Amino acid sequence: MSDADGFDLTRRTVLKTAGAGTVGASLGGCLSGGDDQPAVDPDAETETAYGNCWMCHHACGQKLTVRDGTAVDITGVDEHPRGSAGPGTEGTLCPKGQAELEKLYDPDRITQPYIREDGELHEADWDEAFEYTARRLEAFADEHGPEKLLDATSWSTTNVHEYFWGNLYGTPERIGRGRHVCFGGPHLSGNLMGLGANMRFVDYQHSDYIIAWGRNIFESFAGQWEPKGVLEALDNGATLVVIDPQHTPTAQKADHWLPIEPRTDGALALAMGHVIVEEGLYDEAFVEEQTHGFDAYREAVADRTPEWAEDITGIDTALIREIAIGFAEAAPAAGIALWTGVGQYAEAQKAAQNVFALNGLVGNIDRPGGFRMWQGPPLQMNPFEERGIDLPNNAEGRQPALREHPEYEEYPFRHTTGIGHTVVPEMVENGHIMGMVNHYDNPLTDGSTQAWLEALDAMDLVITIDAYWNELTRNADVVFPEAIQLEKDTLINYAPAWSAYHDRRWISASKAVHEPLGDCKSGFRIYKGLAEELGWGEYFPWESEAEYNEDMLANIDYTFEEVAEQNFVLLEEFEYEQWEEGGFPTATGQFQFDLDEEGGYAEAADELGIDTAPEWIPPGTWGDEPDEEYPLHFYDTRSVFFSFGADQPLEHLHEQYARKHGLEGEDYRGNYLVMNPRDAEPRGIETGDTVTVETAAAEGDEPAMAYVSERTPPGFVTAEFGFGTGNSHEEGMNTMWVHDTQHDPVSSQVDRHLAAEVRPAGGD
Amino acid sequence: MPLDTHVVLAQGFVEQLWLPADYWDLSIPVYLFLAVVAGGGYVTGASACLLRHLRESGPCCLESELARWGFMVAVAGAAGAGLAVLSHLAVIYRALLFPIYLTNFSSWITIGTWILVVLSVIAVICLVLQLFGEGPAQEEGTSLFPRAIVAKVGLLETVDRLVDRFRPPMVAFAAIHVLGSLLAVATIYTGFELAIVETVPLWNMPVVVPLAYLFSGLAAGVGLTVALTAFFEREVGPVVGGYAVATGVLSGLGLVTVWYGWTVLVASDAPAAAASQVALAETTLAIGAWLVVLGLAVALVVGVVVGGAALTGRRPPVLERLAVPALVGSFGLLVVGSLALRVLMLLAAQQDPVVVLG
Amino acid sequence: MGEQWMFYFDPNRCIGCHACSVACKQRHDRDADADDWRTVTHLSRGEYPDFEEVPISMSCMHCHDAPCEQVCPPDAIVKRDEDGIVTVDRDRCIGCHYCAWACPFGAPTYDDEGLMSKCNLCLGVGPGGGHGQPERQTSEEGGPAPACVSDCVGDAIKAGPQSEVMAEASREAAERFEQGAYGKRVLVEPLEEDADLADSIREGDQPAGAITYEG
Repeated sequence: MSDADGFDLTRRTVLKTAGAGTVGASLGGCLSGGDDQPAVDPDAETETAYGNCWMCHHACGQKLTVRDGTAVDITGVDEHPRGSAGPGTEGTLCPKGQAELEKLYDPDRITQPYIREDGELHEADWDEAFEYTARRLEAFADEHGPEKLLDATSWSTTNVHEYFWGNLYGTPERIGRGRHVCFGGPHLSGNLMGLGANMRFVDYQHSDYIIAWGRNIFESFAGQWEPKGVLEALDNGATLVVIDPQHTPTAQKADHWLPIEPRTDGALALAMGHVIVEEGLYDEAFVEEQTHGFDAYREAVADRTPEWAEDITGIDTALIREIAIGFAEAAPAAGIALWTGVGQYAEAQKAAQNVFALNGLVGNIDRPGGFRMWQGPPLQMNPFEERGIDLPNNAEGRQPALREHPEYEEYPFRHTTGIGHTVVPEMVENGHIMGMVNHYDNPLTDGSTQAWLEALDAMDLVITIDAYWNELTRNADVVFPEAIQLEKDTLINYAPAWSAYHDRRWISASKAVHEPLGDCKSGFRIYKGLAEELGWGEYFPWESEAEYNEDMLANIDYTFEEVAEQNFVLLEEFEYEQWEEGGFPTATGQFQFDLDEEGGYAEAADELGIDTAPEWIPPGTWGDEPDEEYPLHFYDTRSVFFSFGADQPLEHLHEQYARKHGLEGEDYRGNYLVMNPRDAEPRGIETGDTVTVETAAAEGDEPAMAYVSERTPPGFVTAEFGFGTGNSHEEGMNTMWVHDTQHDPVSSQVDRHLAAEVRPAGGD
Repeated sequence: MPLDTHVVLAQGFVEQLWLPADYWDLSIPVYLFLAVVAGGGYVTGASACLLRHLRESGPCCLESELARWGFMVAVAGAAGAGLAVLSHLAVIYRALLFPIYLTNFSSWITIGTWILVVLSVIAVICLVLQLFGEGPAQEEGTSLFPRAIVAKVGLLETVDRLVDRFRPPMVAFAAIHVLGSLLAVATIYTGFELAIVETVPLWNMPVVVPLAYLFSGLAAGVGLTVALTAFFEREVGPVVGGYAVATGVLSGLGLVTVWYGWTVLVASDAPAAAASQVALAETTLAIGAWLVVLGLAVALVVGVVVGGAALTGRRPPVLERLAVPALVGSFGLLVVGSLALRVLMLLAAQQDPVVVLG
Repeated sequence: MGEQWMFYFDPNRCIGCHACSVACKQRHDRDADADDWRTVTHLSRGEYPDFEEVPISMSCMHCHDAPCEQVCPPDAIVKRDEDGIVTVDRDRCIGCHYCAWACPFGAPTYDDEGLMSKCNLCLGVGPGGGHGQPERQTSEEGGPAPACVSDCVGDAIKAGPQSEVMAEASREAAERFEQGAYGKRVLVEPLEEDADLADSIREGDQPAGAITYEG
């Protein structure tokens, strides 16, 4: 492990070292000394470079000031679809996006390939690393078959990995982040009901009524266009309703904050539906012409009165009625933004279905100010096809093990998805998965961490493409150091859809600011190098990622260079009410209240004994319910400073996170366990104390520091995700260490809502 | 030393939000205190010289003792204040080159530096004149101990000769004392250093704070001189009694000023004033607040009663026996209380925040 | 004498994300753990669910009357005629911290050397970087936008010559400014009314109207 802890290097001193290395190499050592020379000539002319922020992969435009070959400043790009409020507005960068500048020169990054020999990880050069990896992959295929290699590549900036592991290596076993560990329930519900996978965004700027349902838009957003759009809507007089057990910056700015009992969103949504139906405020024409299963829905909400919901949700009957009527009357310029808050508990699929049904009911779908069905650019996602390359599909005919083997018949989610995060360790135990390739992801942060650690140990081959050392990279057989987004020629191909431009398609791209740190390579180059070593060089005719990107733009009138030069371009318009022509992408071609026509879902529902229509499923049906021994709800959260585990190591971010909590004076830079004074006091806990979280499954890996606040309700404790054992920033506690296979049986989503107890750890 | 924890307890109002408490350390209250103590020592010394002259007292009188102890308190106080403030600075050489660097004469630090430096020079001159030369050579008393030190180095005769050679004429001497006494009173600047901070209601009392600092500091300086004299001479005559009364009166004035300041604070509408008040009344700082009151009040009572008795010569045997320990004890407590006043003023300082009221 | 520059802050648009603090640190190449020139503080009040938390972003306000400049013994702090920006000459600073006492905003910070540094409205780069720089230019004139302004996600911070900033403020904020709110040192959008703050602090636990600092 590279250990640069204890060094407090500013950008310039790092550059001095890094720069000297690069120049020394290129001049064959002609350069001598120069230790005292400033690496950046302050008088040098500055240039501008661009990036598309990949700190949370939502691609806000980044504008960099480059002086003397070094990036010295970073800011947003004006009018950027993701990083501004739209036309005529300035672009900015949130703290994460700015800290990518720190990451660009972070001395803690892995900058060399590593391979495991004689049980130890050793530095290697790229040729060695490619050769070693190719031989290991071949041996793995010979011994186990390629189908036993789990493709856990996630938010890579290139999509080439899909073709590499699927088509060429031939594994059908693939797990991604969004639908399995992040918001699986809403993802499934949204897709099946006809809203698509991007079911979390409202046409904010045109909205009169925004419900942030389990969403903290001002702190956890998918591009800054979201908070900016909501602020603009508020300026225009829109009503903001926030449904969240915790007080958040979004709740602070809301007209109504509904501090709901955890996991009772489904009941509230049914009661709102009840009111809207009862008052006759629903969009009869839309329901009649565009939806399926309304009768089942009407029946489902018939006895779900606000009075009934008040007991469950803790929200006043009159308020439920007010919100329901306000929403319905504002429709179609009324939208619901729903994400992880109704996405990460065991009963979330059904809860999300109940909420999404409200969209169909009031007919706000793809209408101004309502739920927008965003359209991305017509990218050629298969550049192989564009080049006329006859790419084989070696995964053809292979089924994910989950669907093949009787061991997994107890998991209803096998009908709705090919894999589940929490079932992987069991599959490893059963010998159905024997290896893994990991790219821009880390399963150790996302549930059943201890079981996953054992599974890593049991796997024959673990390949990671990563930037930091952690329990995953340290336990891997191959570690490829990937360049970060700013060091790559990047075309944003991950869902360039939702944005501040409600009616325009767009595309965003950027060229590398400069060469990658150390020996890092772009993901594209890593796959190309590996392909050549495996004898698949013929499939990779592109010299560079930029060339590959060029082919992705085949259907678009701009070259990669042209887009990258201005960072983003706006493309053609798209209309509202697109369902008028194309219908909905569902089994019935309509918006579906009832999912009875969705075969896989119906089978899962049947096995679980639940309805295919909206239904109230009380908390604890599948998930944990607090009891005497573990009386607290424990939930992991995200602050504005971190998204995935790769942001947490950056000093600017964990420092500001500490300052936000007024705890910068402590040495501790891990996550905080937030609890209400009414829970803290009887336990003898004060802000700044270290505390241990315990669940029925386990005691926390490490203590966290307590932050006692009225921000969180009594009985409800939270901690920021992405810290502690298994993560790249190992200080603090891993929130998923105490998790043990809990999940949503319908969608396989990890249930991140646990029953827990918190104790003083005996230090502060 | 971070001095912020107590303040947070004050209903957690503004905390050290607008004025991080780590900008201060204990050297600041020590500096603010010792500068005025130096002034108190100086006025005691100068006035004792005047008294000795007026009363034409002979050698070995208590006036001489008071004068020497007074100037010693002045010199030590000024030196201590100087060291304390220097220890707090980042670039000491620039401070030592103050005639070049400290160019802002509207800053109380610049003004104060000149006051303190000139006062300390004058105090040193006066002390040297009281310690060396033909006159002092014929005297006896504990306060002459520096002579023994110089004698040990073998320079006593030389020094005595030199001092007599440069001994100023009476007029110049008087002028020096007048100037020194003015500067001693000018140590009131320590109060102004805080009083100009408009956003801290606890400090921003341009009459109360300087006067409170002056009275309590002078009282401590005079009282310390009296206590030293009484302790070493084991005698409390009418002169010492007079100074004890003066100490008591100054303490009383200090107490009245501090009390008046408190009522102003209590009546203030400023949130930070309320927070300071709560901090002083309801947190551990309250102990310090009572220490201030106790120090000033006891000095007032003991100074007036014991000193008054000694001054008027009506001394019952009990007082005779208890005079020295009572004066030493109460004035010692006064010194502690007077220092505590400065410490508290920093610890309980709250700045009115910018964005609170609609 | 040119027009005085000043800051504007709207707590209603501040989302408390600390982008301003990070932007400032990066623009001026300052270590992550150094004291922030631009801070974000979270003030809160009440008990769940009657709880509120308000983020406040603050820095040097380049006050028209610059209390720091008035008290700086070595005249290391300069209130510039040309644009009103308050700069510091670190070659004169003695590190006495008196400016921090006098400052209403807690803006001066002190580094390992003990010397003062603070916001220079991005007139120059780094501690002391503003000292002796030519007149500040607006973005239209080709000057850089201050880092905190240019990366404020909620568009809550603005800066510029006073007349320009005033023109962007709400009428209520501008009126209050004219009436002397915050010593006319910074333009702040109204957050809420609360008259009896001092009384409630004196009354003890969790004063109904007081915004308390959590931490």
